[in-house]
Parts: sequence; C-alpha cells; structure tokens
Amino acid sequence: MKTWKNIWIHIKRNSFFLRTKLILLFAFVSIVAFVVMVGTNLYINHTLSEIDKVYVTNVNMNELSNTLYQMQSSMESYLTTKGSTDLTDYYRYEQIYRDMMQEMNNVVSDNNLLIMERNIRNMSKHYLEYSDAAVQAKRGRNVENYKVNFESAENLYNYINAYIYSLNNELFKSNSQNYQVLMVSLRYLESFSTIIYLIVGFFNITLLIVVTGNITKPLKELTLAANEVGAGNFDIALIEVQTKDEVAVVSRAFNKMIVSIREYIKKVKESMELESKMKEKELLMDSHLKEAQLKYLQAQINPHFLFNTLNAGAQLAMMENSEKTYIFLQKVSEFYRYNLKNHEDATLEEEIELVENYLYILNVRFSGEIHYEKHLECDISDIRLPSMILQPVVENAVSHGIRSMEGEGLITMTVKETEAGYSISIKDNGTGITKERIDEVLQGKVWESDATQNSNGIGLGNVISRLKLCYNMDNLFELKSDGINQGTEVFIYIPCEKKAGIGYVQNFIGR
Amino acid sequence: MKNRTILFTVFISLLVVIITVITVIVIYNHQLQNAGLKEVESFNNYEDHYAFISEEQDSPFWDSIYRGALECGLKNNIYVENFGENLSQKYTPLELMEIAIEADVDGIIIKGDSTKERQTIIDKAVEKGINVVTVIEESMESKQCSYVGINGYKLGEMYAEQIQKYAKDESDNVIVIIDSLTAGPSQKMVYSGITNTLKEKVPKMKVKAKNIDYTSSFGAEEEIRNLIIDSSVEKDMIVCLNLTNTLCAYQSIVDLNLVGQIKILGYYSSDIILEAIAQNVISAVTVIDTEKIGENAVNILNEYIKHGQANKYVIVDTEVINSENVEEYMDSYQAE
Repeated sequence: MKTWKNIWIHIKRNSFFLRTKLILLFAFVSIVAFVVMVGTNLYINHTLSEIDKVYVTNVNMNELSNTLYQMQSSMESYLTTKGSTDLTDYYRYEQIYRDMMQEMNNVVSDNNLLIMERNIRNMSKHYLEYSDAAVQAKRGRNVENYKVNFESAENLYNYINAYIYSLNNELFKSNSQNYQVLMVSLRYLESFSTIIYLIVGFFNITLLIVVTGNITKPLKELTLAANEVGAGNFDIALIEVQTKDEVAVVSRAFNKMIVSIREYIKKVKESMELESKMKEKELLMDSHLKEAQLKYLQAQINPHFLFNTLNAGAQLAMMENSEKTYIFLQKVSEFYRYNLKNHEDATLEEEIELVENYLYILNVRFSGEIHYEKHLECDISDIRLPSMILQPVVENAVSHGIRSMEGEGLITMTVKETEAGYSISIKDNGTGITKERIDEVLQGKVWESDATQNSNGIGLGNVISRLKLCYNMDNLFELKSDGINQGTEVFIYIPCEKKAGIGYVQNFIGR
Repeated sequence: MKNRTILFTVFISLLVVIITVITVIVIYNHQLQNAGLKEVESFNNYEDHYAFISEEQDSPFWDSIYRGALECGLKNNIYVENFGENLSQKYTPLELMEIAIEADVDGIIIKGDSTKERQTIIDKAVEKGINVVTVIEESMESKQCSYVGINGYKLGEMYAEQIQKYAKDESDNVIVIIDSLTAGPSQKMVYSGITNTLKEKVPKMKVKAKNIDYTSSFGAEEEIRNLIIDSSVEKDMIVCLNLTNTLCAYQSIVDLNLVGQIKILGYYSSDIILEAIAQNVISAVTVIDTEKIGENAVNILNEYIKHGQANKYVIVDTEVINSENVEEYMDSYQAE
C-alpha cells in the first residue's frame, strides 16, 4: 500500500528517474499483455473443457444401461441358479444403480431430456421394487411371487432400456450439435484472440511511443538548444524543465550556462561602448583645441617678430624714461606669449593674470574706461583649469556689455570655494542681456557669428564645450542678467577632485 | 508532455483494451448463439406431470388436442407430456399408459374404448392413485374419472342433416365407413344417429356401414380405394368418421376422377380438407373443438386432484364446415 502511495506521489510530481520510468512503463505494458494472454487462455481452456464434457451425458447413459443390464442379468442368473455370486453381483449392481439414480433429474420440467430422465428415474424405482421383491421371494422360495415380480421387472427393464436408448439418442443428437458448435467456436476464439493480441499490441506500442517520446523530448530540446548555442546564437529561449529526472538536472545546468554567457557578453559590450565613447570625446576635445589654436595662429602672423618688436619698443621706452609705455608694451608682450604657449591646462592664477593683462591693454586702448575688481575668497594656488577659459568671457563682457554702455565700465571677478569645487564669477555693469538671448547663447545658437566678431576669435560656445568635455559634466557655465542695463554675470564652476572625488577630471586634464 | 497526458494515454489504452476484450467476448458469445449451442439449462419447472397418450402420433387431430392440454397445463403449473413422442421405439397406447403408470405421472389423458385391455389398464392406473380422463371415446366400464368429447348420437344426427342436404335424391346410397377394430360405442352411436334420423326423415335412402380393417399397415387407404373402385357396391355418398379416412376418400376420388359422382362427408379439418371443400370435392366436414377437449381434460384432472371429484361427462361443441363458410375457416387457419 505504501509502495503504491509512493509511486502515486512520484507520478504527481513527475520525479521518477529515467530508469524507474522505463521499468514502470515496461512493467505496465507487460502486465496488460500478460493479463490479456491469461484471459484468452482461460477462455480457450474453458471451451476445451466444455468440448471434453460434451459427450459425458452419453457416457453416463451407457454406464446406466450397462449397470441395468448387469443387474438384470445377475437377477436372472440368481433366479435361475440361486448362485450366491449372482446374488452378490445383483446387490452390488443394485447399489451402483441406486447411486446413479440419485444423480438423475426428479423435477417436472418442460425439457424433453429432463422429463425423460425423470421418467427413467421413476420407472427404475419401481423396477428395483419388483426386482428386490423377486429376489426376496426367491430367497423365501415363494415361486409364484418371484415369477410375477420378475415378469413385472422384466417388462419395466425393457421399457427403461427403450427409454435410456431414446434418451441416449436424443442426447447424442444434442451433444453432436454442441460439439460441432464448440469446435466452430474454438476456431472463432482463435481468430478473436489474434484480434485482441493485435489491438493490445497496437495500443502497447502507442503507449511506448508516447511515453518514450515524453522521456526523449527534453533531450531533443537540449540538443537543439546546444546546437544553436554552438552556432553562436545565445538569444534562445531557456529550456522549460518539467520533470525531476537526470535530463532536468542537465537542462537546468545548461540554462544557467546560457544566462551566465549572456551576462558576460552584455558586460563586454558595455565596456566596449564606454571605451568608444571616451575615444570619441578625446577626438572632439582635440578638435576644439586645434580650432582655438588655429584661430590664435591666424591672429599671430609672426609672433616672434612681434615679441622682438614689442621688446625693442619696451627697451626704447625704458631708454626714453617712458615707464608707462614700457609697462604697456611689457603687458602686451606677456599677453601674446601666454597665448602662444602650447598648453592644454593652466593654473587659475595664470588665467587671472591673463585677464588682468588683457584689461590693462584695453584700458590703455580705451583710456581707462574699464575698472577691474578682483575678490579671491580662497586659496587659488592649486586650482587648475583648461587654458583660455576666463579671457574669452572677459572679452565677451567688454565687447557686448561695457563697450556700448555709457559711463564707466566695471568688471568684477570673484573666486569662491564651494562644496564641490570652486566658483569663478565674472560680472560686468554693462548693457545686460535678455533672457531669450541667454537661452540662445547657452544653446549655442549665436556662437558662430559671435566668434567671427571677436578679436581673439574664441567665443563663449568654445568655452562651454571645452568645460563640458574636460570635466564630463553639464552646467559648469552659467549666464545671468537681470535685464537690459542691469549688467551680466558669468559663473564658471570648476569641480575639485579632492572634494567631489572626481579623479576622472584630473586624469583627463593631465593627459 | 505533462503527467496528465501520460496518465490520460495510459487510461485510454486500458479503456481500449477493456472495451476490445468485452466487445470480442460479446461478439464471440453472439456467434456461439447463432451457431446454435443448445442450452440444456433453459427450462421451466412445474408442480405436476400429466401424461397425454396420443392415439396416433403426428396426427393433426391428436396434436391439436395435445396442444390444448399443454397450454392449459402450463397456465396451471402442470407439464403435460406427449407420452412416447421422443421414444425411438413405437409403443401402443396401452403400453405407453403402462409406462406412464410406472413413471409415476400425476394424471393421464387417453382415448377410451370398450375393450377389456384398455379398461384394465385404466383401472390399474386409478388403483395406483393416478387419475385418468378419457377423450373422444370413453371406457364406460372402467374407473375413468371423466370423459371429455362428443355425443356420438348427436353427431350422427348432424351427419344425417348434411346427408339430406347434399343427396341428389331421396333414394341415394350412403356408405358410412367405421373403424372395425376400434369402433367402440362412440362410432356406433354416430352410425345409429345417422340411420335413425334418415329412417325417420328419408326412408328411401339406403345407408350401409363399411368396416375398415386396421390389422395391416396402411389398410384403411387400400380398403377405401377398393370400395370406391368396386362397381358392385352402389354409392352416391361416403361418410367418414375420422380424419385419416376422410383424407383417403378424398385422395381416391380425385385420383379416380370421380369428383361430383361420389360425394364425401368428412370429419375434422386440415388445410387439404378446407381446400377440398372450397373446390367442392368434399361436400362438408364435421369438426369439434379439439383444443377445447385437451383443455377440458386437464381442467377435469385438476379438479379431481384438488377436490376428489369433477364433472363425469363433458361434451364439446361440434360444427359443420361446407362451401358456404369454408372461407372463414381458411382465413382463421391461415392466421394461425
């Protein structure tokens, strides 16, 4: 009982091993075939035993007739010779005959054979009475009596014999017919058993095909999936695992392998994409630098000649005791020298110095109209940033803000330390700028035209792009104005590696 | 594939195997039945056993009486055996009666007659506690319980009426065939009825009795044919008092091409006789309700066994079939 329960639980869970599955399947098929074979054999045996029994009734009738004959003969012999052997024989056969009579039908029925049997039985009863009476009379030497009884017994003997003969004939007719029918039926049975075997065989094979198909289907799926993977296709559906056998274990391992390979491929792809993006940025950066440098080179036809000329002018001014001219020429010379340095980054001090030189030159040019204030609220010695960032902003403030205003212009530069780095503010008190214009500048719509008008040729767009490329961050450049004649303030934010942990920025700048 | 599918397949396979096996067994048994295997076991049991001793095996007349007795018996839980029917050896009615007595039957139906032998055997049965009812003819001197049959004299009167009806003229010669061996009081009574009635109504008509000797086999047919051929015997009409004689007379008249010259008055009906009446070869026959005789005989025996007494003399109605009403009988005969 427990075993069956276990088997049922396994069937429900589909958790048989392949070996157990196959053993159960073959056991089931064998049992069905065995049961059908045993059933048909039993039926054939039953028919054969029926055939054996067909003529039993005739044999019984013959035995009855023989016993009756033996009894009648022994009675006649005894009545004739009074031999003790005959008497013994008579009693022996009489007993046998009585026993046989007991087996005969005693019920009134509408079956001819049975009613004849009943008649024989009743007549035999009277026959035995007469024969017993005859034998008793003989033993008692009652001659008259035994003769009368013998005659009655003999008459009945003849009638009974005729009846047995007729009944035997009727039985023989019926039995012969039954025998023929049974023989025919045996032939039918052979055909039918063959049909049963064929049908059972067919369904057993179907069952085998279905169940073995069920066992081998996951293996086939696994093989197909493995072939796909082998051909390089990792985007296949994972194998559905429904069983809990050995194939299921292999399938699960295969599924895990597929998932792992996919993850690995994804990571490699991401890393390659990142590298490609970085290379692209580097190229773009280079391109911007080259552009800026080209613009300067265009502006400096022969810088060495210009420096030498400026130096000669400075010495001349010195000799003529014109100190202001000497300083002016010195500043102009420094300004252009800075521009000629082929460096990618600079310190904030250098950038501020450049701005101051630039403003000095402008003030000489425009008679000191532009005032300049510098507020350094922190230590700026360690601050590095891309070169040529502040000067274009100041140049922009002068060109668009101060030059077209009335009164004295003021440019205020403030450097502050913030949480993530440093903030550089360049503020003018010029004509200001509208909101729309600010948006257009920040969106880069006015860069191109702006650049051509600029004396140095480096526009705000170039500054914004380089800041973005250098630090890989947006919003490092901010432009604020409260409106027309309200001045303009530009904020440049320099992230600090130490504060924000932006190692990448420094690395990039360092390359 | 899920477990359910496998279980479903297993279930379907088992179901198909079981259905196949059952179907094959059913077809096999059906084939056996068609082949005609005799089921000895199929029979009904009854309380009492009566022996019907036919005077003539395979005779429609006696078969009809037996049929009536059998059907009535079955309704009353009694099996009436047509005694000697299945025996390969031929026994006389008296021998069969002796066998029936020794076979301890509960009642016997037999044709009576006036012979001493029949009377003795009837008495022997009654002494052994077996009730005996005589039919068609009675053994008046015996200890028979009852008689079921016809009134011979009345039957004779009916015959006389038919003779008058079909006679060409009043001086016709009429021959009445009587079974010489078994001619008991019944046939003699019939003959008396004919002669007395005709003497009274048609005194000129000549009526003669012809005794047929049954001692040799097929004697009746020979004697009747000889009688018809014999020109020394004047005959305008032949009256037969049993079925066999009627059939013999009919066949001889047809064979000898004497249809219309000699008229036949017969006894009992069969398909041949009805056909002969329709063709006017036989003028008329007198019939009795034979099944009713059998039925009454069984009922009388039942009465005797239950109550120890019953009607001693039961008469069954007789009818005449002639060309006027033969079609009705033919229809009912075909319907049967």
